[in-house]
Amino acid sequence: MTVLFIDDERRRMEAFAMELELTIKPVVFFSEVDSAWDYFVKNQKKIKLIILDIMMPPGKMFDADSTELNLGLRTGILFYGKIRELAPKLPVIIFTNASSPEVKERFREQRKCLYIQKKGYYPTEFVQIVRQLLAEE
Amino acid sequence: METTAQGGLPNQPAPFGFELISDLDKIKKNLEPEPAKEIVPLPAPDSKSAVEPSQGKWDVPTEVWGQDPPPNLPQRESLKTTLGRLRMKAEAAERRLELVFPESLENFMANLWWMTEQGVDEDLDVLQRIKDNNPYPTRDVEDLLAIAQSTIRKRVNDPDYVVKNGEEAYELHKDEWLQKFPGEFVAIHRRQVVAHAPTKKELWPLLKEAQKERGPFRAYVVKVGEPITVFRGPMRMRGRRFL
Repeated sequence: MTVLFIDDERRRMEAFAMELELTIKPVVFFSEVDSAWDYFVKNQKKIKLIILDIMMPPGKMFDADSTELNLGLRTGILFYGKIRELAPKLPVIIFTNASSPEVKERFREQRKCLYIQKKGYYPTEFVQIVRQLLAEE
Repeated sequence: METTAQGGLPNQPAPFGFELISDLDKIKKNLEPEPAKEIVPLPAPDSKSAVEPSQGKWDVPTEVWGQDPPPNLPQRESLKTTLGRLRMKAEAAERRLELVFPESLENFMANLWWMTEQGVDEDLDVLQRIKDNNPYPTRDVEDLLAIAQSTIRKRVNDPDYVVKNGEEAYELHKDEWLQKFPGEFVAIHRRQVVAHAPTKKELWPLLKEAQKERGPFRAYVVKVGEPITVFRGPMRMRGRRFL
């Protein structure tokens, strides 16, 4: 059982990743989408949960024309779409600072997807949610 | 298997540890209860001299510490909210600092993304400062700076934000403003009083003057000393967008 954690701000997410490591092993952390995607494709079967940030560098995989995408404001949304193409039933936690109502609504409508804003959670609280989610699976 | 009284096999030394517990007298002595010690209870607190807990929202009953509080304890929620707010402020301060003194382009971009989603009115000054002295003058950074600025401007002009921010500022500066503007109406913008007058009628022209100087903005209007909320929203009058 592996939890895949993708967030470009490694230093700020360290406490969350460590807390997850203590409770749910192993946690594989990636700070950019290209390597994360490679890992996901190769290890898809053993990944039980993905924790995904939204605002990240677009990497090579999202070399899009749209300004907003190139600026990295919605990278996680595109990554989520790619995940769903391969694994429609894999639980995904969107763990982000993004707060626009459209983004929230978009993910709330998704199945097997939980939208959580970073600012409201301490690492211990976050891990409790992850544990609960994995227990329900 | 045969064992000796001291433990161990016949004609062999007792293994370590067995000899220690073989002395039954010693064990018995150790098991005898000690004479009861007298415990003198602490004097009951004098109700007159006892320190009265303050009634502020920081108070959490002392009996709560060290045990699981009931799930809906209001003080617990209040403390959690306060701590959360402090954590947010600390993160915002840290990110502002990192933007002004960036470690790397990646870090700089990450902080700009955060500003776009979470930035508040104070961050507009920081962003303007960065725009004037951009450490990474690329097209992407300039575009992202522009997006961050326009998103924050939109956010801080949102009626909910104006009310929340105005109320917070009023609570914070209430004592000071009670001395400076007793009984007056004050217009609060970006946590500062931008206009004040004894009546609302007198306040509007002053507020319009402030809006001319600073550009269009929404202000939270309150009568100092009275918790009356008067929200001054945008209006289209005589071709002007804001009054």
